[in-house]
Amino acid sequence: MSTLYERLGGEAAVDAAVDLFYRKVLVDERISQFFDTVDMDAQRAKQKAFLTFAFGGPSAYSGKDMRAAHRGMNLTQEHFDAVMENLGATLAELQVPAEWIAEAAGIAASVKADVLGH
Amino acid sequence: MTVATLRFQEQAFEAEESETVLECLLRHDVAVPSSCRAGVCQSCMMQAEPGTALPERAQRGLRPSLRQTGHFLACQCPVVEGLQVGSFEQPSCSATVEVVRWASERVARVWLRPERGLGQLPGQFVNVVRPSDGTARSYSVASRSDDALLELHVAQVPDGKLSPWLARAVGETVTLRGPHGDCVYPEDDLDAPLLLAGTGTGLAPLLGVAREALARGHRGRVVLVHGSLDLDGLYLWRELCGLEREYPQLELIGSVGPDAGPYAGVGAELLRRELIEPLLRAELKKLAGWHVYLCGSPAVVKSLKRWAFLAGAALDHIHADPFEPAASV
Repeated sequence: MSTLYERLGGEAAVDAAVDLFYRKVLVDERISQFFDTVDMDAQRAKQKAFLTFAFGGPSAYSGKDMRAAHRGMNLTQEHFDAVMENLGATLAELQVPAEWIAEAAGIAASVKADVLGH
Repeated sequence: MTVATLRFQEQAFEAEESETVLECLLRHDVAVPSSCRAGVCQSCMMQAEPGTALPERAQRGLRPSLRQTGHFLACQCPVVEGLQVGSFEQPSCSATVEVVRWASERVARVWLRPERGLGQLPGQFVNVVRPSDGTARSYSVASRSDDALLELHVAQVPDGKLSPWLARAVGETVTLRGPHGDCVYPEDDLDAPLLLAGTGTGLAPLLGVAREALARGHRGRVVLVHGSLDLDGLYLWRELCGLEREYPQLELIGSVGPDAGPYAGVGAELLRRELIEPLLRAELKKLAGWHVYLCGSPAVVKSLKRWAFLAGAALDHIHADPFEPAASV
């Protein structure tokens, strides 16, 4: 019984997904202001860490880390939904089965309260 | 129980069995940045002595140019006896200024003879320090590693603290520190198309990479674009045209502002009266599989980096070297 991360293809899958995901959020006007930073390599590393986490991969991030990282950004449900939408679109583009996309979405959604500061 | 000694910035730290570099340094209260501890976030990136054999795990996820220069993730790297890490600005070496040629009113080409090889790869930069007062400025290396002399392109900064002096310093000794920087030729990818685009003396690292590519028999396209607001700023234009005639795979484009004066000399047919950004956007739409090098004006470099990424270039393959001016004291 393999984990979602293994089924998706592990780190290689994250690498394939991260550039796709990053390009999508950069041009999504609902959320691009959060991702359009000058240090693109640092931003990409954050995306990679997020996707690793969402794919159920190895990550030492705690809810507290997520909360601290997003503090003061005034994030709304709309922002969260936009990110989730782009995550889904990225996985769909990589031809990941719908059930697995739902699984990844579930993991990502599990930190919603921390991300939105609720 | 100590099983290995780690050297970090001239100090020795005793490491315990299967300790990682990060664990060892944190245990000794050395403030190494870290976050995920899982080899993903790259906060703990450090550099090992050039030539050190590093485990694959400790370099996973790092762009090839960082791997080539000995960078690794401290949280994924077990300490092995004698491992030396930290910043490698020291040791430095002396160099003599041997030749200076003015390429234009504003740019001096300076050739230095270092007392020993710095192991720099063409396109990287070195910090040049004037020994008398420690003033240091960064310049990119336009020459190849096996050239006897290091070639720098020194833009003259009005009332600058180092550039005017350096351009008049034949016979003087300077200290070199480094090398640093990401604009290195991808040794293992002879077929990849290369885009080398820059403004001003951003040409120096681009020229270094281009020379390296051509010398290695690069098979892919090598597109070199040098931009300037005025014609004077294309300070090496004739020489670049010579290179273009010699190497069929080199495509040269000169970009000048719409207000630049008329030009009917060598390579006039390769000159476009269009600023570098709109020129590139119109000329190249898809950059998937390309290696992209962007050097010079920080605003242009940052803007082009975003463009190149959205046009499909992998971020790992975008090598940006913004020439940030020295902060005034």
